[in-house]
Amino acid sequence: MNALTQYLDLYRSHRDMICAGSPEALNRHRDAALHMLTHIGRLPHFGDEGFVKVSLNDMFAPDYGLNLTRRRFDADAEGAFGCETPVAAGPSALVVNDAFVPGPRMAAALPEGVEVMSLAEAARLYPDDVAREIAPADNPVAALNTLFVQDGVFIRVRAGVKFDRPIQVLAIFNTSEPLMAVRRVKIFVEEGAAARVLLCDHPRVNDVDYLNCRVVEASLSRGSRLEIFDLEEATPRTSRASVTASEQAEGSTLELTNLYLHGGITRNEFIPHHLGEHCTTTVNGLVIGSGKQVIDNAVRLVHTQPRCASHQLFKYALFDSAQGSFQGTVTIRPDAPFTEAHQTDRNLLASPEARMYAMPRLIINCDEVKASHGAATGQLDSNALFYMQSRGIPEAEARMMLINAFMTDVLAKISYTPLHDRLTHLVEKRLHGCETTCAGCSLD
Amino acid sequence: MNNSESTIKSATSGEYKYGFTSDVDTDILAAGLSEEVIRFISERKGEPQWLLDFRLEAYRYWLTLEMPRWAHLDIPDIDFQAISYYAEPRKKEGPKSLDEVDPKVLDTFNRLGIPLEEQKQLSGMAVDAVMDSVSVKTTHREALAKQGIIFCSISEAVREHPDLVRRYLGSVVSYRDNFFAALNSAVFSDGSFVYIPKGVRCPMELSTYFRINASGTGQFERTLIVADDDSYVSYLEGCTAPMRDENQLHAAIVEIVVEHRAEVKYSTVQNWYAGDEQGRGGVYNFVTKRGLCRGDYSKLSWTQVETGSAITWKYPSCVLKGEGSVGEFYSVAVTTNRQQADTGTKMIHVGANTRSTIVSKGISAGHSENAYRGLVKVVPAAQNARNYTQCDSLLLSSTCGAHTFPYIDVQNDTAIVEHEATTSKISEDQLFYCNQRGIPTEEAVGLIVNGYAKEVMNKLPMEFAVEAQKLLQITLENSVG
Repeated sequence: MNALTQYLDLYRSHRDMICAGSPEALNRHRDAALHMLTHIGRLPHFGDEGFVKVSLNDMFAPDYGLNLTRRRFDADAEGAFGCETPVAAGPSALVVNDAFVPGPRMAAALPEGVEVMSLAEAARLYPDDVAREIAPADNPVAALNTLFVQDGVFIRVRAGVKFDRPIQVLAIFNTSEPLMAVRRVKIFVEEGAAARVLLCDHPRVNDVDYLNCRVVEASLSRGSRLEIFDLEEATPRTSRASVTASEQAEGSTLELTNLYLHGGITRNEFIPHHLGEHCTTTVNGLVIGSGKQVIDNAVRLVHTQPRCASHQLFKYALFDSAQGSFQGTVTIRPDAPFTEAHQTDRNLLASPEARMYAMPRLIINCDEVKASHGAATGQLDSNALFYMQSRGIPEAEARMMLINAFMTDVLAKISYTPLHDRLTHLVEKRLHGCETTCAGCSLD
Repeated sequence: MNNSESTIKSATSGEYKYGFTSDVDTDILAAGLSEEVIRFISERKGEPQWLLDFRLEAYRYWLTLEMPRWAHLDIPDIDFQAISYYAEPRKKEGPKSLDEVDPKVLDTFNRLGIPLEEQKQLSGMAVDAVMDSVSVKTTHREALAKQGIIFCSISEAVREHPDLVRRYLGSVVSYRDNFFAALNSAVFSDGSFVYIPKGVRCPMELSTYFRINASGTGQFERTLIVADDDSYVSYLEGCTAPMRDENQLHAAIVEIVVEHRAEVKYSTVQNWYAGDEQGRGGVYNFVTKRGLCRGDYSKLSWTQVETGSAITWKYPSCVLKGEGSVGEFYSVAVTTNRQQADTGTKMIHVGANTRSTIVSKGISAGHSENAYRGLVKVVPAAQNARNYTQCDSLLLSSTCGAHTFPYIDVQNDTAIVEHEATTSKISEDQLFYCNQRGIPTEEAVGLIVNGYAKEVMNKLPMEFAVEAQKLLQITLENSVG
């Protein structure tokens, strides 16, 4: 079955309705996206280059509903998620299904020079910024998102403003019917500014099928800094196809940390792009998979500017029948001398049925570079396990301690201490088999 | 361009010394591929019906395929109907002794430094020389036969040992494996057949030299090596071709079966003509090489030094089926001028306690593109599999490319699979250190490159190691820049 057809047909038959309900900036590229998708004819499937464990065709095949009529869902920033103090530490935006809902304390928590608003509203205020395509137009997930997106979150940090506390974007599913949510987050960090953004994905209902079609686009101006923490805690019946794309001007720094704690089938693509020299990009990932979860992370990083650096560190711990996939491609073009690019992927298989597929790639067309990659898949060190048991630590506990230690170096890269502690706590809970939610996720 | 750059540049444009052509009378079949051509080849070689059927099945399957485009290579369209699929140095009967071999053929192999002559019998190497589509001469056969070792051209093996050939041909590389495997299975001309009986350690290195001589032809040889229980053999393969402006196609298959506790060491020095500085001419080297370690505790070791060919597409592989079987792959791939290489290996761990080691060293110069592509797969049944992969690339110019595409598929939680890769250029520090001690830059570059490749060179048999080291130097002459 060609899953793409139903979306193309849906768009063609409802084009007027979709466009009428959205500002011009969101409509600007829809027809081009339709043209691109019509041209490729189908979504990537198993066996296509880069799609070993996840088929986008299968992911998009079920008959999900789309909120084309812009029906409003109940939104209660305080209670919608059962979150005791979700925004106590910083501003929090709420996305219910695919609609932005402003939190009551949003404005109060935002300092001057930081804007957080609905993408639809931003499309009216800043049409050119919203219409600017940062994610590659030929990416099928990005194109599908462009076809149907009607809302999301817009964040702008004005020049020179340095905002320490993470801006939290809570995206939740809250329907009793299967739904595909089309979400887009656009972040602009202006010259010399700095910001942290925490993206959390959760469903509110456990026994409904959801599909999260998400695009995160970040634009970093000269000398700016942005840290994005992306936390996925969904149900096994939630699938996610996500594209995180960025463009960085000279001297900017981007740090992306992706944490997968719960979910169904997930495909994350990271596509950073450098516009100037001396940019630094870090993409880290931590995955704890169990049950029949499938987690596929793909990084496509093309160095086109001299004197830039990139670092990737991905760690997977897979239990039960979980399947992991890491595909990292670093390309260094001839016009990018003095690039430094390092890529590391480490994986633990903790059960006989767990599977891991790794494909770290280097494509280097320039000699003045330092590039390396390493990938390893194995299990816990039996000597370390024996050592701990010989000192009276039960085997199960020893295993958890070692897996926790294995994950430490990804978490250690989270520089904001309250968030680091909070996420470390969530990882520990997850490893002990507890349901982890953002409940009580105070960053203070 | 600074001083060291120009030295490096001037050090990698070595002339191809095997680029001469030999004026040997050759029967060449008219260009084109059809069932008639296949029937002609089979009839000309006096093959049994089952082999003709095998060829025809392969041909019909090949017709359903398209040429693969997934490699990191820019392969021009190949007109498969413009190639002649059979060329034979003219000689009525197979030579009984060297006196019967065309002197020009002998001269060709002498110029290549290949010890075909009887007086070189003591060189301790048995040689099968294959020119174009036909095996010209195999030496030391009688001495080997005393121990039950069969070393002959595959055409002879089909006639004299049909049961063995029928049993093993296509058992490791099926004609359905890939586009070029299907093509080879349909039109393969000659090649070597080796059978080492149980418990025999082959007393000398076995060697085959492949030479493309005729123009407008391709070479489609097939090598089949079977090492029975507790046996050992070291097999060497060398390849050269004349310098021509046209591209010539070489699509070979090597199949190896390793039984219980047997060991096969397969070494290649591949030096097909690589084309000129502008990328005109050269051999397209599209080869399928695979070994099946069928027996417990068997071992297969691939060692290759790849310096030639305009385009190289090959992945010598090991299927580690027997318990405790071992696969090794050591490779140095050098590309200069406009050469392209997409080469590496596949290690498929099927049996328990299997181990594999991959050491790949890529050296790129000029405007060349050099890619390592490797698969390590551990299937669910392969308990305690171990793999270590080291994959380094050295860039000698600012216009070349070095790429790494590993695929690691682990389906067993007791496996340990490790992959490391680095890419860098020769550091100024290393050059400065050598200069400081009175070593000129050009020599220093040679020193550093040889040191870089030494881990692989050490795995070659002595005779080849010396040749390969020289080859490396010649290939890189005038190209470090």
